[in-house]
Amino acid sequence: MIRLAWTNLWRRPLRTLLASTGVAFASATFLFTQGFLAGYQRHITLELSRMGIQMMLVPLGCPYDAAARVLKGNALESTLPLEALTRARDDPAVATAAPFLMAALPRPRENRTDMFCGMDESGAALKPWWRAPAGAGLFPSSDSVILGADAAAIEMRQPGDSFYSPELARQFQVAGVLERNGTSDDQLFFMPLSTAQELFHASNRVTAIAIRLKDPVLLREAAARLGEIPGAQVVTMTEMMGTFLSVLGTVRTFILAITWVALIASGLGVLTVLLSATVERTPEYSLLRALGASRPQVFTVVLVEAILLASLGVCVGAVSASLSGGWIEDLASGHVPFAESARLFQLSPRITAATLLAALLGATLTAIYPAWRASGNAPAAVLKQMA
Amino acid sequence: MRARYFLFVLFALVPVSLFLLRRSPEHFTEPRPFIPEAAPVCPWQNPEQLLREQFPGTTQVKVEDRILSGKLLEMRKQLGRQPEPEEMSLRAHLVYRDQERLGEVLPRRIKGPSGAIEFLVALDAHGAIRAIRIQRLREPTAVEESLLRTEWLAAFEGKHSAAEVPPSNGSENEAQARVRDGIRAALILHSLGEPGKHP
Repeated sequence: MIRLAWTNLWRRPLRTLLASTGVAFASATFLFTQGFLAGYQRHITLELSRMGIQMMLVPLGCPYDAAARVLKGNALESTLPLEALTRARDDPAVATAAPFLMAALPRPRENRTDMFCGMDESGAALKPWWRAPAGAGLFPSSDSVILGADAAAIEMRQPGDSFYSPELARQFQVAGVLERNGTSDDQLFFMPLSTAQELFHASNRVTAIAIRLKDPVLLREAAARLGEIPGAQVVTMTEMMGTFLSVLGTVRTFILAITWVALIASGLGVLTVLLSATVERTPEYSLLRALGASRPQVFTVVLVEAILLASLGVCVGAVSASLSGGWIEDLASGHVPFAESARLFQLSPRITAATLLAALLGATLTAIYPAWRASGNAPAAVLKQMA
Repeated sequence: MRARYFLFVLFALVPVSLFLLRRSPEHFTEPRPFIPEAAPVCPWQNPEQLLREQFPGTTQVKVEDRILSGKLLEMRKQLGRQPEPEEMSLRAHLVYRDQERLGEVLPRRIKGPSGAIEFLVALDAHGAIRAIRIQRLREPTAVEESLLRTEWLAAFEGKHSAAEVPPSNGSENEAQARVRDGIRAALILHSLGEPGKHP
């Protein structure tokens, strides 16, 4: 049956090639746009994750002032209770909630201020740019400190050195020195959160909770939930990106609609081809029926023909999309904001398989009418008409 | 039949040509290795106090950076060790009363046991130590007191060269020993940096 359908297809090669080219173009467009948009969203998400945090829980007050102070490595006058951290970590949208306790120790004789930051392992998870010391844990002991690049250079400290804070009257061991990363972290002294809480008399308090979400799309709903924590307010660090993702979602819907139109158009092309082939081959199908072929068998021949046509188109489309994707991306790269230098297009097996399945389903649907018509002919009437 | 093959070839040529036009992907870049950084130049905090004490009547202070990296071998020989990156240059604050040079101040930063120790070496016009002042330190109270002890600091006054500053005799604590070495190193660097003295 497959062989018969295949032979039927190539009886009119030009017509077959034109129809499958239509399917190929439509599926290539679909695959490219989906692969590109998925890659673009992945890149934006990666950029967000490189930012480390997507939102921050800070004590009530001016949220932007608080967020700016914490990001700049400055202390806040008020703090959050540790229960806020528990609630943040329990939120289903939150992947990581990292508490920070910032404290400033002015050294007026030196015209400088020592900035200490208490944090735990989760804080390091939010700082992917950190090149922290290699080893088992972030802070091997409660008196460990990790120094920012500037802090270490000015204090001439290396991993393993002692470090004394006269104001705290506490001796620390330098567990590591961060590589310069151009952020306020360069000037900070990082210590275990529990140590900072003890030294700065802030038991069970934190200055801020930095939050990374499981999916940036969950930003709004998570912000709404976390904003209900008493005494806390949410500052989203990705407002610009959030707006951008919203625009991207709209563009994605728009492009998806266009590609669906292209796919439907190609489906109509397949329908036209099958219908004309059915009309053309009416005597042959009638002869088959007269020779003993059942209606389902004739129906299946036309159906298989449609499936083969669609499969051929999708395969060619997938190959074209994968080969031309990079080239088209190069042409468009100058016009893509936030990802000018990134390689975005990636044809995933999932998208390809989904496209193939959609094409097969579409082919099956478009083949129903021609197949029904081909199998519904009364052999006697047709043969009589022919005679 | 020929038309069929022609169309097949045409059909196959489209993806092949697109493949050939495709730009090759960029290479991955290896992450940079971690390189420890040299300490920045030691500043001179609150110069008014030292100028008032040691160089009264100062009208002008000029900053001069002396590059010593060209004297690496001599430096290594005199220091008796490999010079630190911070020792490749020496910042001297030249103190003047009108046109008369009163002396100079060498701010130095050394690695103390518990943090950096910054001190000032005030030299008179002949290159002898007028005063040593601890500018910044991060040591426990007992060590801090030992470093700030007037008589210990005064013992360096009048020394012209590193040879006149004896090495630590073992009775000093680690921070004092390091400051002593730092003062000796400052005098060596000063001597190497003097114009015309070490070609």
